[in-house]
Amino acid sequence: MEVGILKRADGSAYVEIGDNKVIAAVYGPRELHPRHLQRPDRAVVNCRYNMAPFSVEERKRSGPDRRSIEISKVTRLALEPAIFTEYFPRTSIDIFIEILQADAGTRTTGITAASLALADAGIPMRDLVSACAVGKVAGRIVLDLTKVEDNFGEADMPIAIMPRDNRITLLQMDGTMTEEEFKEALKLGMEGCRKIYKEQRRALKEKYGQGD
Amino acid sequence: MAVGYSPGPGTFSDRGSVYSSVVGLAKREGEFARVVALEGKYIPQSGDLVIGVVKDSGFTSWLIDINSPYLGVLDVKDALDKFDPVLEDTSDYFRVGDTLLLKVKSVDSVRRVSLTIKEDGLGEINGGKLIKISPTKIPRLIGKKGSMIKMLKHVTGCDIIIAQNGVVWINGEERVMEILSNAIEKIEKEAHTSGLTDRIKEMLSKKLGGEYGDSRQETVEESSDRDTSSNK
Repeated sequence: MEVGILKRADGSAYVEIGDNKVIAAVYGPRELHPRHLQRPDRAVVNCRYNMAPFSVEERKRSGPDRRSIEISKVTRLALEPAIFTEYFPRTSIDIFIEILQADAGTRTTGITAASLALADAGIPMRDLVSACAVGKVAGRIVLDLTKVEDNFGEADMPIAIMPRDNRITLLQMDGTMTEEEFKEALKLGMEGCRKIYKEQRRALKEKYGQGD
Repeated sequence: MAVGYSPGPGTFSDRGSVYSSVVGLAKREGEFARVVALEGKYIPQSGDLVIGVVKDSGFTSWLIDINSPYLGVLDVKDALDKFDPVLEDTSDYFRVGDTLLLKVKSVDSVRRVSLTIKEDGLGEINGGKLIKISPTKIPRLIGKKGSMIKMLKHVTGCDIIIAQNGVVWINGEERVMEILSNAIEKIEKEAHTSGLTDRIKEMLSKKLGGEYGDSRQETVEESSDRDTSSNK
């Protein structure tokens, strides 16, 4: 993980988890146009998740599709609770997530990168948001699935939390698990998120490493 | 971050503890815990000195870009003693593109910013050069009790105005301005490191050669923000 990689963005981060490679950029708070979208009491958070055509094995058609629109929305909802939007009325905070290489778990990697970029932009937050996926493959609960595990496993469950008070901001599930398995998976996932959290903090400190 | 303190700027409290909300340097000031942010946009506060550029002139006001997510409004009654909107036009006084030194008069709850130039030293700025730096680095550029700015003015002989919104105006000889703006850039980049004032001074005297070398005396204090630990 690396913070502050883009000069033009207010905040940015590059995150590599396994074979997932993601760049996130944050702009704002900035003036929001058109004016009628402005909220007088808080900032509006916009989020765009995009996959590069070369990020997957078979070329993906560029541009937004049903899947990336959905992921943009859940990413926004996963990050918004962490941001003090009420500090910046009438503005927007724009988050851009670009997937350079994908190997299952890009939305969680994207959230992890975006929350680093938000912190890098100096936007006040309640906590960093850390995310990772858990799933069930061949009858076993596993953390951070790969593409093969995801495609041939029984279930996939991305989780995003604010680790300070363990509040869950994103929880999706695809596939089937028993209640017991779900509980086990959630526990494992939260643990994974806390590991990611440590790495995020390390990456942020590293940017200002020389000083103290 | 801390227990038993009240939350100051850059922090919030949750169930009795105070946490940092931004990446920055933690400080304790009396009963308050605060965090000095390392990044961020300029958010206007009343009383701030800002440098702005006229973006538009209205019927009885000017819209001013103050390097912030919020536009500033300078009303004619905060700029001129007498103005007749029927006979005169606001652009007779300030045109789009003019640079002004202003003071933030007030900021309301939805962050509408009203500005004024009705105070000594405020008004249009001519000549010189504007440099934009991150507003969070402004205190560093000023230095403890103005040590950095004093040194810069002394060594380079340039006029310097540092505004709260991250805009710095410098005026002097072309070649010296070039060197000075490089130095300011360096200060911005290395704002959180210690011993900066001395290093910048050394760099400046080396680049400027003998001609402005009248800066031998003047001991400069150490940088601020030392009693701190990085947070979050």
